[in-house]
Amino acid sequence: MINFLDTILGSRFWALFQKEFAQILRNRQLLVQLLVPPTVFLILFGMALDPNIKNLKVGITDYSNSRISRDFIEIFYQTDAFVVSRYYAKQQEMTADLAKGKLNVGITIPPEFSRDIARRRTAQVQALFDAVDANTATTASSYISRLVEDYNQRQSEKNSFSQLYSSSSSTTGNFSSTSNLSNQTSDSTTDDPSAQTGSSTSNSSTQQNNSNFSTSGSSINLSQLSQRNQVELATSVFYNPGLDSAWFIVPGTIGILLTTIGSQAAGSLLVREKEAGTIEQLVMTPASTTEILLAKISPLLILLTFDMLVALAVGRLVFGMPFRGNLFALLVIAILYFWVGISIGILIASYAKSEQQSQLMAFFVNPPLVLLSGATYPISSMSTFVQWLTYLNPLRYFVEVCRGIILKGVGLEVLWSQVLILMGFATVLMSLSIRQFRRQLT
Amino acid sequence: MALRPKRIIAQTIKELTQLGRDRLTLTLALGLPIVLLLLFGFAVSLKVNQINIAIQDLALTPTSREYIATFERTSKFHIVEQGATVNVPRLLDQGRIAAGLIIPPKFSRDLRRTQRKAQVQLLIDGTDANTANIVRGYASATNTEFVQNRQAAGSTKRETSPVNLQARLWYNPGLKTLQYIGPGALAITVALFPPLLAGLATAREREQSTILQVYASSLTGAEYLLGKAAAFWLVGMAEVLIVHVEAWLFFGIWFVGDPTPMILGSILYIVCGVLWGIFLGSNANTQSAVIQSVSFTAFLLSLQLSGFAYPVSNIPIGIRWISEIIPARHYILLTRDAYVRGVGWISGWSPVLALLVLASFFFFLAWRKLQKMQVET
Repeated sequence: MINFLDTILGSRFWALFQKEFAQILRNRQLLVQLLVPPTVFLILFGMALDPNIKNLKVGITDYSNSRISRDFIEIFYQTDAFVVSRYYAKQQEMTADLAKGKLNVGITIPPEFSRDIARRRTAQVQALFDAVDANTATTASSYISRLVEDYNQRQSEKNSFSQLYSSSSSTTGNFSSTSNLSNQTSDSTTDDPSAQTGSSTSNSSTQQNNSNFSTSGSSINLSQLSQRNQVELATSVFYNPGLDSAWFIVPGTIGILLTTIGSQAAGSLLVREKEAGTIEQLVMTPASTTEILLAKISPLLILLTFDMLVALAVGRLVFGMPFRGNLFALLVIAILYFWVGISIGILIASYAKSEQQSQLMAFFVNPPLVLLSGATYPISSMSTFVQWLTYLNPLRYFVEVCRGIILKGVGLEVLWSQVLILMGFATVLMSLSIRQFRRQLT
Repeated sequence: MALRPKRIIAQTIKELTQLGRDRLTLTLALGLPIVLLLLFGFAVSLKVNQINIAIQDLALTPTSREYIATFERTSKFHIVEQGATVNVPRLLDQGRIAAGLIIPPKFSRDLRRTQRKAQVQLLIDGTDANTANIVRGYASATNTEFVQNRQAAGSTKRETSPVNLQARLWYNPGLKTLQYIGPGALAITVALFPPLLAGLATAREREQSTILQVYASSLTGAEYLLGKAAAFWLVGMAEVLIVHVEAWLFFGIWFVGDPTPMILGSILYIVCGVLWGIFLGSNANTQSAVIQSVSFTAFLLSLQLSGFAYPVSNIPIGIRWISEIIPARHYILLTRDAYVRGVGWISGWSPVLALLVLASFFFFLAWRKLQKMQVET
C-alpha cells in the first residue's frame, strides 16, 4: 500500500498533476466558469422551464348572464391553471383580444344557456383557443373538457337525484314541493346512499383540479352509480408523483453541464498551453503525451465531480428532488462520462489555433449534443429521423442514467446497456483525441 | 456632438474587411444559424406522438380484451406488451413504456354489477411531467370512450349531457408543433452571432491595444460605436435573410399576414443584439470572456426564458421580469404573428416599441461605457 502510494507520489504523473492543479487554482476565470454557471443555470432553468400550464388567461362572454351561467363559470375559478381576466359584453371584443394575444382562451356562453339547462337540453358553449402554442392549447383544451365533464357530472347527479326524489315522493306522497335544482346538498345526506357517494366523489375530483393535476387518481364515473358498466381509472404516477417538471430538468441539466463545461474547459486549457508555446516545453520533458494529457485532465475530473455534487445539492435544496439510487454508482458513471466530454474538448483543441477558435468550435458541437439528448425536451416527441440521430449521442445515454439513478432508483441491473455504450464512446473518443493531439504535436 | 457619416462608414468598412479575413469565424457565423435552425425545428417539440404502453390483463375475458381494443384503436397508444404476466413496474424502470395498465381479475364481474365500479390501475412514468399529463388525459378519454360505448350498447335511453363544449383551435387548427417552434427558432438562431461578433471585435481592439489608436484619432465615442454596430448589423441581417429563406424551404412556413411589424422588428432585434455585444465586449478583458458572457446572456437566456418552448406565463413571477429585458421574447411575438397568427399591427406595435426601448437602452449602456473608456486610458 505504502509502496503503491510512493510510486504514485514519486511519479512524473504526480508532479505534472500538481502543476496542473496549481495552474487551475490560479486561473480565476476558469474556476468561476466551472462553479458559478452550474448553480445559476440549475436554479433558473429548474424554475423557468415548466410545461405545466398555469395562469392561462380566460376571457368570458356571457350572453346568458344568469345564475346558472355564473354557476357554470365557477369551474374556471376552481383551478390555478386558469385566470379569468375579463368579462366581455360582445364576442367581437373578446376575439379581438384573443388576436392580440391578451387572452389564451375565449369562452362564449349563448343567451339560451340557462333555458337549455333548465329544460335538460344540451347547452352549447363555445371555447376558442389560441393554438399558436400547440402544446399549451392541447393541454388547456383537455383540461377544460375535464372541467366541463365534471360540471356535467354534477348536473346529472342533480337530475338523477331529482328523478329519484320525484319517484320516491310519488310512491310515498310525503314530500311534495321542494325545488330540485338547488337544495340537494342539504337533503342528500338523509336520502339515497348512492347519490351521496356520487356527490362525494365529485367533490374529491374537484379538489384534484384545485391542486393542478398534482394528486394522483382520477375517477371517471360518468353518471350515477346505479348504472352498470362503470370503470374507474385509478392513476398512480411513478417516480415524480407531484409531476414537478424541475425533477425532469435538473438531471438533464447535470448532463448538459458536464458536457459543455467539460469540453470547453479541456479545450481551452490545452489551447492556452499551445498559444503560450509552453506545450513544447511539456513535450520536451520525459513524460509521455498520455501522461501529459492525463495530468491535464485529472484536476478537471475533480472539479467536475464537485460540480455534480453542487448540482445534486441544488436539486435537493431548491427543488426538493429526491435521490433514490446509489450515489457511488452515479459518480462512477459520471466519471466515465467526463472522459467523453473531455475527449471532445481535446479533439476540438487539436484543431483550433487559438482559445477563441476552440470556443467557437465548441458552439458548433455542443448545441446538437444538448438538443438531441432528451435533457430538456423529451426524445419521444421528436420526429422518427431525429430520434434515430439521438442514438449517436453519448449525452442521451448519460441523461438516461442520471434519471434512472436519481429519480427511479434503479441500478446497473437496468442501466447496464447504457453504461456499456458510454464505455464504448469513452474508449473510442479518448483514443481518437489522444492520437489526433499527438499527431499534431509532432 | 455632431455625427460624421463619412467616418462611420469608414469604420464599418474596416470592420467588414477584418471579418472577411477571419474565414473560420465568418463560416461559423453564416453556417451555424443554418444548422441550429434545423436542429431547433426538428428536435424541439413537446408534442406527444406515440405513447408506449404495456397492459397486464389479469382478467383475460372478452370484456377486458374489448377494453384493450379501445386503447389499440386510438392512434395515440402503441401497446408494447400485453398479457397476464407483464411486469409493468419493471418496464417502467427500464424506460420502455410511458404508462402501464393493470386490469384486475374481477374486472368483468364488477363491470356487470350495478353497485360496483370496475377498477383499472394506470401507472404513469412521471419523470417528464408534461408527457405524463398528456398521457393521463388521453388515457382517461379512452376510458370514457369505452364506458360510453358499453352504456350506449346496454341501454336504449340516451343520456344527454347538460353542457357540450365546442372547442375551436384558432390560428393553428392542426396543432402543428412546427408552426409554434419554427418562428421561435428563427429568433433564437440569430440571437447568438451578431452580439458575439460585435463583442469579439470590441474586445480584440482592447486586447491588441489598437483601441489606443482610436482614442488618438478624432473619432468620437458615438461614431465609433455606430460604425462598429453598422458592420455587424449588416452581418446579422444577412443571417436573418438566410434563416427566413431556410425556414420557407424546410419548414414550409410563409407569411400569413402583414409582415411589416416583423421586418421592422428584425431590424431592431439585430440592433439590440449588436449593441449588447459591444457593451459586453467593452467590459471584457479577453475575447474568451466575451464568448462566455455572450453565450450565457444572449444565447442561453434567449433560449430558455423567451417563451420559445415553454410559455412565458409559466415562469414564476419572481424571475419573469428577466424575460422582459430579453429582446428575443418580444421578437418571437412578432415572428409568430407574421407566420402563424397574421394579425399584423394590431398586436405588433407593442413588441416593436419594446424592442425600440431595449435598443436605445443598450445603446446608452454601450455609449456610456465607451465614453468612460476614453477618459480612463
